[in-house]
Amino acid sequence: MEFTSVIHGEGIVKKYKGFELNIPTLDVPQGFATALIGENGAGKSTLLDILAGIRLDYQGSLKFFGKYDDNDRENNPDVKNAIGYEGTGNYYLPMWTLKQGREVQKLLFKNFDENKYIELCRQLAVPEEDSKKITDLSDGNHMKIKLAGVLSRETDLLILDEPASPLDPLMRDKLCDMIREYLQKDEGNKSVLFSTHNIADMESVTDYAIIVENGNIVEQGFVEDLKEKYVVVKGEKEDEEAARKVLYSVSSGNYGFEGVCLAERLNELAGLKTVVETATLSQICVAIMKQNSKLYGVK
Amino acid sequence: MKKIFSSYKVFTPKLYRYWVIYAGTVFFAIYTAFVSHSTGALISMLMTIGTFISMDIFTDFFVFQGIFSKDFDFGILKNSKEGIRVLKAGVIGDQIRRFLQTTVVMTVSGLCTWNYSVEHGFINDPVKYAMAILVMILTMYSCNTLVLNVTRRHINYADGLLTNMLSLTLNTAISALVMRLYMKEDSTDPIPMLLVMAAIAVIVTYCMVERIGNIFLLSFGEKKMGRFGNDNAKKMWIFLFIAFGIDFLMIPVMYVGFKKEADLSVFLVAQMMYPACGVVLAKLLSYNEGKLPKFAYGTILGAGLLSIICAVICAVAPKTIEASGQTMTVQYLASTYVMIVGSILMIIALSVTGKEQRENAGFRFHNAGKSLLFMLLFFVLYFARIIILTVIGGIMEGNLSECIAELGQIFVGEGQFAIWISVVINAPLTFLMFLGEEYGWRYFLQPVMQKKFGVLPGTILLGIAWGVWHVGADFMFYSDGTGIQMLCAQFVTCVSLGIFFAYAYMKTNNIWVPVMMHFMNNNLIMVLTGDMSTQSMQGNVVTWGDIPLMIIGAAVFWVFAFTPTMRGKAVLDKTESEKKEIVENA
Repeated sequence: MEFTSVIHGEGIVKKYKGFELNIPTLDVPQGFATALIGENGAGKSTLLDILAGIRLDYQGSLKFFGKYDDNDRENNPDVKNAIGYEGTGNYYLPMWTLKQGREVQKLLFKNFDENKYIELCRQLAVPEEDSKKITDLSDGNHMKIKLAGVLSRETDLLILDEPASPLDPLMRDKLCDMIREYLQKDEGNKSVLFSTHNIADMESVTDYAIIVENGNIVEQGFVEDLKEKYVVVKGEKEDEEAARKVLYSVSSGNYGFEGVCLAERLNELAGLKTVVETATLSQICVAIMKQNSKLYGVK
Repeated sequence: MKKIFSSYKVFTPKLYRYWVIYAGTVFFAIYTAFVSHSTGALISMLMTIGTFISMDIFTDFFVFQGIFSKDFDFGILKNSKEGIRVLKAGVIGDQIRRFLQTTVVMTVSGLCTWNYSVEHGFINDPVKYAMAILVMILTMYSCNTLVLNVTRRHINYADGLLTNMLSLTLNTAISALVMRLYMKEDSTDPIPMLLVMAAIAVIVTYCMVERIGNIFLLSFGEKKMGRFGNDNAKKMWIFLFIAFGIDFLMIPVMYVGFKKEADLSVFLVAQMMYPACGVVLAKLLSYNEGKLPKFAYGTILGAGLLSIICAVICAVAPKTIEASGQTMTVQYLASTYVMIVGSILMIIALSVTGKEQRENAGFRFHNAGKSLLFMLLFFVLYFARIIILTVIGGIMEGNLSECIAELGQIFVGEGQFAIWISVVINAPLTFLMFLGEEYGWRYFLQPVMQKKFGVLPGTILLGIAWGVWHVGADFMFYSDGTGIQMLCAQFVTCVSLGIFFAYAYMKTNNIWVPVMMHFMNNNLIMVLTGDMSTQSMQGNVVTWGDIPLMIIGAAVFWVFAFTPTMRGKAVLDKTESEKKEIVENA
């Protein structure tokens, strides 16, 4: 599927001790929600930090909205303002009150809409007392005010680092709604890039998936395309050994097995008693991640 | 202004604003009034300063620890281009608050002690008294800021107390000193002190704000463009301000001492430290320098600051004593001790500092064999110059053999042996001063000038700049009424020595070579004159006729302008990767 990229990156390299992020090309489609999926330490946050301009000590070139490069992002305030970034960790000063958190955003962002922020906080049921300290909030509420902050600005691209992790299932659903709502505004000019562990919960809103392992992109594509590329195969216990050679990952039970396999290699399973089913995104991701993870040993 | 206020508001909790700023100020005003009624004026003022600063640092720790703690890492501020401005505005707001509060407390304190001052005959001119108070305000503010600036980033609950104690000690000590000066002598002229303190206050505030900005930019993990367009320009400005700005600022102060006919030797000691202090501050305040030797740099800055203080005190209240058979000012003696202690500390610092830090600071002893040869070469050339001048003088006056015999006395004369020994002993005890100059000229400025103007023109321009830098001393110290001639003679000396120092430094890439050469140049004069004091350098009469002779004598140095090295391209400008290679290979 053809698309225009909201972020196009080339040769992004960032070295840490014992870890190297190395991404030859990166494309994030414009007008869609893109999920960045990978296990802990795969380099997701580092990549997002680089894209948002929180870390600048990387090599490689970036292009935003098809026309600005990373120097524009640092020098042209409009570019940086058009990118809404929400990071993990101490995003607000720990001793700030809710009021100060609001005030600081007014100072920092010209495009910050205070009324919208208050309205969003109310919708998300964040405590309303101005004097409450941010440290006293629960993790979930902390995330909610971060999301409210980033959504009350006029932005064209949202970069969210693990927005779903601290939220309860109901809030995750609400988050998906908010992302969808955001994408619908402005006729496909707005895009969202988020990282997540909770593939299943976020699947409904994910259009495009980028799977990162050990600092490399191992698979990417629109979710529909991925689902055509990979299928789930189920079969009887006796066929397991024969099927293992073809399947990506196999989980075997007492009576049968289940695994993910490339659609194009299905013919190699001919003669076995198998059932082919459509895979979910999370099945595909787990299979691919297992293939590349250090946890299971790279094959 | 509005931005400063609103940023400051964002960074400080309400409770702090009301209680500490308003209630605290009122409390201290009342406290001061009470204490000054029940105790002597001096003690009351000291108590006020002590308690006030104690409180100020304690509360600062609660307010600002959040921003500077490494865990916060500036979070949301990094998402906007405005982040750095908001952060700096917040800090400026806090500095304004600090200054206003200091002003209120010290003014009340001053008003309460006015009667005491008049009764005891300290100061009874209201204008002078007001100025003295202003000096106290600036001193207190500067010390407070300085200590906070150094310790703030490293603060945690345990260190908070340490910061407190440190600042308290420094403040009270300096305030006591300043007060003693003003309260004791009605004749003291407060204007130079006021100017110096105001300059220091501005510098420390600037450092405070810039440091915060740098910590912020560092959190992006990369060197970023600073206020001056780029890092090198910024470093250059800081260096020029300290090396030349302070030098010129001290000229009026020197003039005050000159009018009082005080011995100005202490100014020369202080002056030698400005270039190195400039480089150290420039390097510390920029962010692409890698690991730096903090102990060694602290020693340089400390020695520089203390010698400046000695010089200022010498100008306003010179005090003469007899020491080891010579008359000198207490302040000069103090500054000499500062240099001796500083040199010893520097040796310790260099021996405990890692190779990488020494390489980054340019302190490593590269090319040892070649370096020693160059030092020897300078020694030979130095005497060659003397011999040439003596021979020429002898031929002109027709008493060649007598002159040569006199020359021989330098090496074998009576008492000369003791002087030679003292020169050798002096080297490790006073080298800090010579590092003070050469670190600025040869290590920092020379590569920049050579890159900009070409090797030889850059070197000559550096020599001229170096000559201009001596202008205050030329008129008020070295010469007696022949300042202009002395300045010209200084140009000859600086340019020709500059050429040779440049050549040696380019050949060896070792800063200790010019340092030792400079040491020899300044100290071998004692051997020539057979006099161990600085008096031989003082109040000389230079005539225009002397200058051509000097040029001829200096020929031994300026012939090096024709070497291939000086005609080639500047090569000292190494990239980061090359530097790293050098460290790894060594």
